[in-house]
Amino acid sequence: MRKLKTLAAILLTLALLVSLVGCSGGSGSSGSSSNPSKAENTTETSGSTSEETSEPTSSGATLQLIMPSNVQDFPEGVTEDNNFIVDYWSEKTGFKFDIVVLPNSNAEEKLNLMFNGGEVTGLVFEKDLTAPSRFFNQGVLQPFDDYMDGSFFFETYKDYQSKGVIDGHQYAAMIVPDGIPCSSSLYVVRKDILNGIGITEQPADFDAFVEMLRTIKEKTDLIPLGVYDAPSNSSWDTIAALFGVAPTHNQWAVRDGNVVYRFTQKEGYDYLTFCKQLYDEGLIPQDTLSLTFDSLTQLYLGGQVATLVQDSCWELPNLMPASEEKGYDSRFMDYPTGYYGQVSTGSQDRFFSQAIFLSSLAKNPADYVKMLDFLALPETIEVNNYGIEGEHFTLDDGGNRVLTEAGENLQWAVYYRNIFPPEEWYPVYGINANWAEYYYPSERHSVGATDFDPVEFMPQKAEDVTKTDELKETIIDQFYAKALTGEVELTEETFNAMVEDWLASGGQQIQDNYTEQYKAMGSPDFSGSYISYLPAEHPEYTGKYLWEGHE
Amino acid sequence: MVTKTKKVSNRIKTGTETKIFRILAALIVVFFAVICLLPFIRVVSEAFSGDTYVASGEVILLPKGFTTKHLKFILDTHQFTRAMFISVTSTIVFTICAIVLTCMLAYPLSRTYLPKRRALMFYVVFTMLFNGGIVPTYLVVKQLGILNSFWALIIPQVISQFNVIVLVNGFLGIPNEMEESALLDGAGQFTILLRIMVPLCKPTLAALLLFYAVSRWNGWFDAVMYINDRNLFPLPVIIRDIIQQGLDTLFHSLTSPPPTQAVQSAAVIFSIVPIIVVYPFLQKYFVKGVTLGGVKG
Repeated sequence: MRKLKTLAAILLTLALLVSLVGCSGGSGSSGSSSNPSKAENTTETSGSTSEETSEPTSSGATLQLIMPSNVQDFPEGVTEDNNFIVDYWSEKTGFKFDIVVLPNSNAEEKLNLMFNGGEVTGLVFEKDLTAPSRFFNQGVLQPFDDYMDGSFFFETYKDYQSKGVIDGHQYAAMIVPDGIPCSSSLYVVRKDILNGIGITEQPADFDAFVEMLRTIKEKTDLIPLGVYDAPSNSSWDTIAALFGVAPTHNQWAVRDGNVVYRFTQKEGYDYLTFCKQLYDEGLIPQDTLSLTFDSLTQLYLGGQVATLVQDSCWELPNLMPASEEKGYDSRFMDYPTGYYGQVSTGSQDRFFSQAIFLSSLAKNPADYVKMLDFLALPETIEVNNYGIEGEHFTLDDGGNRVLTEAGENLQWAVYYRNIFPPEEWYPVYGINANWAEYYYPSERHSVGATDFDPVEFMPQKAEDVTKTDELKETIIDQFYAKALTGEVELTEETFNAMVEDWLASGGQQIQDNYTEQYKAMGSPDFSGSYISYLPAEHPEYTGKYLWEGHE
Repeated sequence: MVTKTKKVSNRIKTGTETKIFRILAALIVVFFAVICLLPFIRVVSEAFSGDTYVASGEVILLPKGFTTKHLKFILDTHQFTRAMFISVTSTIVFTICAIVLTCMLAYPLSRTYLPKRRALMFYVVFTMLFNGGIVPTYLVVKQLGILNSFWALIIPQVISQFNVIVLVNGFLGIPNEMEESALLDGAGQFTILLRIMVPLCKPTLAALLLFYAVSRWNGWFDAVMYINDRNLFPLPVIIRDIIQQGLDTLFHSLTSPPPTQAVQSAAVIFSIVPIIVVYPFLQKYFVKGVTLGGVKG
């Protein structure tokens, strides 16, 4: 009986293994379950083979485009495959399209599963710049090398493509549509409170800024400066950047020809010393480490905080009206000039970029490059970004596009706005999305930076990025938080010990990798790449929230 | 006389202890009930409060600046009503299929005379403890041809091994004599299952029904992984998106203002109300059902 049981168990295990193998068998060859008929607006379910997807000819071939996630929903009667943008693409190219929009949640896992299941047979647009490296490591990508010559896309955006080179080949096509290289953080202050205690001018420099905080503390019961989380995290962006350290972006710098991690440099120590001073003087919340964005906003609207660092202008369309309803005179205060002369995050921050890569299962790569070329055409960009002239926008006397009501309801078109030059960034997102009032104030400080982040221009290796994040969480964040509250004494010795720990734990290796890449690129000076494309005129913007009103 | 007094005294003392114990127990239960209820009450209050009151943290228990605009906003949202329909439909279909299939698997496994019963039971337990993992499961779903279809919400999760084991034990608790007498009366296995076993296991089945319904109603991960068509997304996916918008970074969602906290709360209310409405009708079976299935066997 015992032997029978063992035998049965073995047989069952074998059966399991066989069924698993059976399940995986053919997945690679079956290619996509994408349904080409979706392009013809039917509602059939997937499960078809990728034969049509793999058509070698251009005319009538179905291209699979996997779009990055976002939160916008399609209105009734509009789907990812059935809308005027896809119709326009089809009409002009002769291709059919199988559009897949990645979910807002767990997009990374979904894409990974789709690749593993052989479901990705076309072009993927991704905001995660480590994605090409990850999927290259899995062997599921093919390079663009053979199709780049004469490509309009690769010619137009050639300056960015070094970032997409992996193992000597162009595995990712890069696009940098962000025309304003700075973060969107804003410094929100209660002007009514500040005026009430005699502060009528914005602090011109950093010392005046600190003095202002001290005055608030002396003359009111309010917390002078609202920040949350550890000083090495994004909520402190504005303050950190005054010292040349940017928590979430721009983490790397070139010093003496080598790439170094800013948090481990002298500016990091100076910044942390300043944070501790703010904490010790009671100029920031004593429970800052346990505060969250929401709880800090509640403190501000609840009348307990006088000034507030907003690490993103994303919430401001909710915060500012609520503040007005409470009777507060909330304004955006300009960033003071930092210890090193920086103009906070306005001058040096991130580029928002995207990677585009091609599945190894795509049997018609030339068609996909043709599609990239088509998407890079000015007339296609206009349709993707603004719609059809006469229907979604009209041109005024100055040649500016004025959105119609239909044009203002094209939020869902964000999924198709993946390729455009940086000049389009502010008109598309700043004006057309009604963000100018909140967006422009944060970006108008953007000026050419001199202290660039070289890693912004390098291919993002998944293992390096993952290790950097891991070391930041386990060493940098821990030390910065403990030093702030006094749990760890902040001295040059303890700071250097932390740096040694970081280097020994893998930081040195990452620095070396980046330095090697930087030198292989010829140690370029990228400072000229930080160009702001803010428009000279922006009539939709009133500037009502600026300290002095419209400039 | 002295002895009699002592006896009375002892009885009073015991009664007081019991009373104190009961009061303490009641207080503890009430305390935990309040802890469980408070977040729910707050969410409801936020859904009916003005944005400014919610944003400034002034809403704790009762709504302030009472308004129903957030609920109206959610109801007017095309994606929300569509997702609600998918959730309701998938939950009904899934629960019916799951209960039927669970019964059909549990019944034979509960018959002690079934050949190789233990081996079959081992197969069920083994797959409960060691599942294939997400990638193989995805491949199975793909091979079944149900990716990006309504059935991807139904078939992959349609039988829970744990629930099968619970029901097997529930069936085992029914005396064999009932089956034997039914056989003598000429009943077949299906008749025995439908006419005897199922009615006698109603509490267990009610509990399982709730388990299945709640798991499908709250399930979002399988929908996100197996479905591309947004028209097939169930409610939890949409709720996650609405809440995520509030947390999201600028560049991820830079097209329109995020929903306020009050709108997020209103969305949550719509997602939990159906389950709350159904629960009281099944609650009387719930504890009994789990106990019946779980202890015996």
